[in-house]
Amino acid sequence: MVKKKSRSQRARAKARQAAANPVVRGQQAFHQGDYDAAIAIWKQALGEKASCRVTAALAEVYFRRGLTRFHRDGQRPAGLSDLAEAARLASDDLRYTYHLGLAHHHQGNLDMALAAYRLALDADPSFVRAAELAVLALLEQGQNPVQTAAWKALPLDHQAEFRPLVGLLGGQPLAVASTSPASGGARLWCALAAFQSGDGGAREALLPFAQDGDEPAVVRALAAYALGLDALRRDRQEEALGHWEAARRLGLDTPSLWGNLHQLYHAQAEEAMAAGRWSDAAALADAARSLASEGRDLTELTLAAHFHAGHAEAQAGRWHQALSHWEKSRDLGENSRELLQNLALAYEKNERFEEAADLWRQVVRCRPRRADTLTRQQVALLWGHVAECYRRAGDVEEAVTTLRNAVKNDPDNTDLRLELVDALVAGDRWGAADNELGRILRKEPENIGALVRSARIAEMGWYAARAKPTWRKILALEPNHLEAQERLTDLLEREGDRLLRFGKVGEALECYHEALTYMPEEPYLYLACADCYFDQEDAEAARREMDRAFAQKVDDLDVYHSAVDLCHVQGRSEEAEWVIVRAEELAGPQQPHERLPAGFFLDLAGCCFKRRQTEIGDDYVRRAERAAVGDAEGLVAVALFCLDRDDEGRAVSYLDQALRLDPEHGLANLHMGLSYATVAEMREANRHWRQARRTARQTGDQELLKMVEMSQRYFQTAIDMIERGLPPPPPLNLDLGMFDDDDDTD
Amino acid sequence: MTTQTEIGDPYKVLGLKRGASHEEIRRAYFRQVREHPPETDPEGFKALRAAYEQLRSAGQRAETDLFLLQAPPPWEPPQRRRQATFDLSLHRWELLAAARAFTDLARDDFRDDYQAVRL
Repeated sequence: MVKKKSRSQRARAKARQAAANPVVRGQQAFHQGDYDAAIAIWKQALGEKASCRVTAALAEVYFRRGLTRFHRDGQRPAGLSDLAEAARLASDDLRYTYHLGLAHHHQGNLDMALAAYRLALDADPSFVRAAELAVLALLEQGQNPVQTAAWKALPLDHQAEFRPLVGLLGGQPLAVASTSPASGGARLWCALAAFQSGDGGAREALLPFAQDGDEPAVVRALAAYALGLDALRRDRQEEALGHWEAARRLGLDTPSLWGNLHQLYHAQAEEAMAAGRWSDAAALADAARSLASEGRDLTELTLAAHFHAGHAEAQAGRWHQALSHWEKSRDLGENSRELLQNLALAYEKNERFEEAADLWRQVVRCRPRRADTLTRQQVALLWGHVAECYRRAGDVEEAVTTLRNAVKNDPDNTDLRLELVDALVAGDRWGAADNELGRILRKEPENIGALVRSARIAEMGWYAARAKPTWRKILALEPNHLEAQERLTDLLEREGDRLLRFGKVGEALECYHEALTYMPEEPYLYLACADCYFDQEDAEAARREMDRAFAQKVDDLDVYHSAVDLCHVQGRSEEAEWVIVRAEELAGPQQPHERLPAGFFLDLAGCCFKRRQTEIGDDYVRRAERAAVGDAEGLVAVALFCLDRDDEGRAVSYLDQALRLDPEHGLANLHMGLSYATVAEMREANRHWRQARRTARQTGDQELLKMVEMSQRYFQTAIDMIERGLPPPPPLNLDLGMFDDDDDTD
Repeated sequence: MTTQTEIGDPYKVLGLKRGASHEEIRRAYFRQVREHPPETDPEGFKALRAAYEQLRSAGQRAETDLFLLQAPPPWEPPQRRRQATFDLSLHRWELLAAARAFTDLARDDFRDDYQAVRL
């Protein structure tokens, strides 16, 4: 007994059969819009077994694919071929014939289009769409359609709509009043007919078409164009321009529109030029050229308009706009010297020095060569200016080349030669610069500019002291020459230091003394002399020199610091103490707490520790602690010094004292917060950091703010990592930059 | 370094034409200074002084003239006035293009012409 299949089994079996059936598969593809697949499957099915229904279906799918390809995808030949195939497969279906005709019509194949329309009309004389397009095709072919079968196939109201157009095209326009058509097309033809016949009411009839956004763009554009023609007939150029620009924006693209716009812009540009409205003229001429650029008159007008407009803009200080106008002038072929010079000026004003330099170069080259025009000195000045622009553009090579041209034209111009020297130096051509300086100095041995440059070049050499005689000569000629004073002092000081290192104390002292003749207000030179006297075991003279140093900058603690340090380096504790006493006498009263601050002693302590003079260093720390009493800044400085020396207990004690004096102290709160954070008392730590942040914001101390944020972030990360069983991050490094470890103790 | 071209037109500052004589420059400067004395208009006076310095000596003036803005040649319209020629007629192609807008030639969506497939 055969077992009966279940309902689901039956359904699955049916689906399997359907899947195997190409007709069904083609239908599925068709419904999914996969026309390629549907065509392939159904063609295969037809090959296996002829079927009227499948043939009709295949025609429909060709039709749909043809329409899509032709009208949507821009594949016109392929679309046309599909439509032809649809019409071949189902020649009795007039839709296919009509659309084949329509496609030919689009392609400009009017004969083939007409043949298709006629075929459709023969089969069905009531096919109005075919009749309409057949009439239009006949009109496009220049034929009168009125006596044709297509015309007769049109309903009377359609004939009424077409009649004004037929009249217009045939040169026999019908008056507006003669018909009262309802449709848009007919009203447009009547309005245009009114325009053609010069009827005064044409404007009113055309305006609604131009302004109605619901009308097709091409209709609005044609109405606007006709309105422009009408305005021009009444000599209203501005109005015509407005209508024609609207027509252009709406997509009207006909030779007559472009030609008329071109003429109108050109005429308006001429008017603007005559009235001296240069910018308007330039814009109008540009517009005319954008439509048709031929014509020498228009080109000349355009470049002149831009030249004038640029000049007006430059005179008003609008150099960017001036440049834009002149560039257009140049691009149109204007290359007069005047324009080149203006362009060069404009490039300079716009800081485009490379282009400016190139143009100035052209200006010099195309200068008039008559003897009565430019002197050689003026030519040299121009070359000098070219060089200056190249220098500003960073092109040293060209600057040198053009400066050489300048010098060639005016060889006696020392300023130009010095500029050449500077350019050569900028190009690292030291030898050439030195030679040029030699030429100047042979002629003018006392030229200060040349001597200064010569000394500078000498200093660049391997033996800087070679520059000394030149600096001395400059000072002999000009005793107050600041650069010479500073450079010679520096060279002598360095020479003195070198001699001192070699133990030539007497010679070193001579150098320092000479340096002091140029810069007698420099305290460190006196300290250098004191150093020499210590070497000569003349402590009295050393004290005298140090006192002179203090007299130069009485309240400058750095000078006292250097003096104390010098004494300790020399092992002169007694003199060091004397310096501190002098500092207390002279500089102490000038300080905020009328005494030497803790920081002064801490700096000294730091230096002593670096030199391993521990006992002396400790003594200075104690002095610092005494100086810090009642001074929050001093207490914080001591605290930070203690932290730097890993003495956190004392640091916390000083921070605590500082916060009692000034609870809002930013640095004290930051470091107190850090101390609490290291023992995991985050509540207290955060309280101090909040205060530190407030202070930082109030005082605008961005660095402090950054340090507070870094500290908080660091400890948050550290806590997270420890809680997750990970190793903590490396220690926090807040670089305070207060006690630098530079090796500058000697 | 201030270059020559960074200074404005000194003739314009002094209200003079480019070809002004030395005497005219001098008189224009003193007249302008009376109108902009340094006590009441220090900036104006500074500009006048700078302009005068540029034109004071023949040598300096020649140098200044080298770097001045150049006026364009005066515009001379073409001797024979150009007659604008407009095409004031409507052409067939313009009318026919509009006529197409009222037909199927202006459409690109013909889905209403589709028919169902019956198999």
